[in-house]
Amino acid sequence: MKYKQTFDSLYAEIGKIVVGQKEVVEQVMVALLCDANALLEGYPGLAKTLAIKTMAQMMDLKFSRIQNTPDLMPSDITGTFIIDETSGKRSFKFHPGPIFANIVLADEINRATPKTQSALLEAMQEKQVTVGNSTFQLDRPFFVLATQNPIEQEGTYPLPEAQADRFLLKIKVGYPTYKEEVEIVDKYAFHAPEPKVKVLLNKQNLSSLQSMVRQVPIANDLKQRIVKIVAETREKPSLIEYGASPRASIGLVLASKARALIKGRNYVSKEDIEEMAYPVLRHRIILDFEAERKGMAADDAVREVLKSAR
Amino acid sequence: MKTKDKFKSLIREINFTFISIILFTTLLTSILIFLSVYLPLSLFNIGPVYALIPASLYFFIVTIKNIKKRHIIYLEKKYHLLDERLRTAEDNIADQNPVVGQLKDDLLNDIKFVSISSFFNEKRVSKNIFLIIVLCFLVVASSNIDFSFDLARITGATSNFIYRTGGDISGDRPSSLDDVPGRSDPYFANSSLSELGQEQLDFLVKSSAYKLNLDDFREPEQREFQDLFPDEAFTHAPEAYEERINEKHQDLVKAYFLNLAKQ
Repeated sequence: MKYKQTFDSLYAEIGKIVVGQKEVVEQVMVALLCDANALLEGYPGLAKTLAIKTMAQMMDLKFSRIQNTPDLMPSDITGTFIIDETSGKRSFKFHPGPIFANIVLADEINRATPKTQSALLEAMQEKQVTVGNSTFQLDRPFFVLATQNPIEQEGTYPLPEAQADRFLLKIKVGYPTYKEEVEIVDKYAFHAPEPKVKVLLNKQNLSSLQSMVRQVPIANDLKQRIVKIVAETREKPSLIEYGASPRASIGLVLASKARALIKGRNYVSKEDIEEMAYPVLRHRIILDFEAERKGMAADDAVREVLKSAR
Repeated sequence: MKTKDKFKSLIREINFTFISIILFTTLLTSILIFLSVYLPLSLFNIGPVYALIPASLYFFIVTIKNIKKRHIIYLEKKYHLLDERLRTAEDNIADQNPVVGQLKDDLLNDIKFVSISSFFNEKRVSKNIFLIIVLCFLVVASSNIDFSFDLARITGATSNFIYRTGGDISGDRPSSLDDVPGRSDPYFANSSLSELGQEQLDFLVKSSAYKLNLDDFREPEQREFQDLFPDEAFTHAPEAYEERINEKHQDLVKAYFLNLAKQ
């Protein structure tokens, strides 16, 4: 399929700025193609912001960044009415906040208060912002890519599971390999200016790719397997206390379709489901106390579920 | 012809081909079962037509079971090029969008690499045909030379052996006339002759006439015996076979040979 060449070019272009992190870039791309939001979890300094900013530049999308702190107010995100005194008249004029962009990077979302988090989540869900009595539609496409730091949990407000469920994927950002780190050092310790990236996609291209994702066919037995996987998360009380909802089934189907398109296939493969199950399910399940006591992580539980759902 | 219609006819053709292969191989195996059962039944004269029962049961059960299966899965397993694609396209056969259309077009191109002969197990089919030929030959040969076993006679002889002799074949003296070796079928003669030997002779030994006197004893008479082996050992032919027949028996012998000649 010709779209594989498009995505290969995208990866090559991102590779000029971001070294490694291919899996992260791919999963962010999956979220964008599904017209959904993603939560990135990783330690500081792993090029999360850089990768998302670069992708926004390549797609000619407006990018904004929100650094969440405990004193951040909802109006700091959504915007507010201010008094405007142009041409001698006073009027209230709406000053849009950083949320009025195509790609919004909400850094350390778990540091914002629940009230501020809810303002962001409303925009994610409804693609609109309400300030006072006025409602403002957000420009399409609209994505929220939130980040979380797995350390420094003191004084944070972890996202409730009901709200974490609104993110299609939870992407784990890991450390680069030794070779990649050497390349990073060569690139950024010796050469100061950042290379520019070309614009490879525009809004219309992205929109047509998004509609194409939904057209990718999936076999009935694979569809049933996805539902079986999600149902299995609710049928293992010794491992998972709270399983995933049907929203996870929809998410897994969409994510698998998007991955198939990125890989240049015009059908969903079993491999797509196995790969996408982890980012789709890891933030939608709550492990049982016994499982946590044994040191199990959400990914281990997902692995068990995939084995038993065969 | 539209891609959707072409693909529909492709699926139809695949199903038809697989059904034909299933029918052929199942029929071949059914014929083999039929002949395998027919041969022993005909040898033992039990009713060779009963061989149709297992053969037809096998044919219908296996055919229905295999026809119900999803045939494109076998195709995908054999040709990895088509893996997952064929069943995805079949499941979404009604969809009309560019992605599904592209998938169907690709499959219509790739299906040309599939050959029907790859689904035939040539060794097994050849082996079955060979066995069928051998069994047919045996059936025809056994019917031509009228080779068979009388099951009733075998079971009767077996039960006689078990119940009359107790399964013990030791000792020279047979316990009944039936077990005399070399005894042939009864001669064709007047039935009154065979009844002669069936008369029962009743006699009573009177023990009272026999007296034992222990006082009257004497030394045994010493006798000299000669250890001589007879000069020649010979057998006498039965009197009936000698040309010199007793006058009393001559009429009897004449009547016997006359009856033989009549038959």
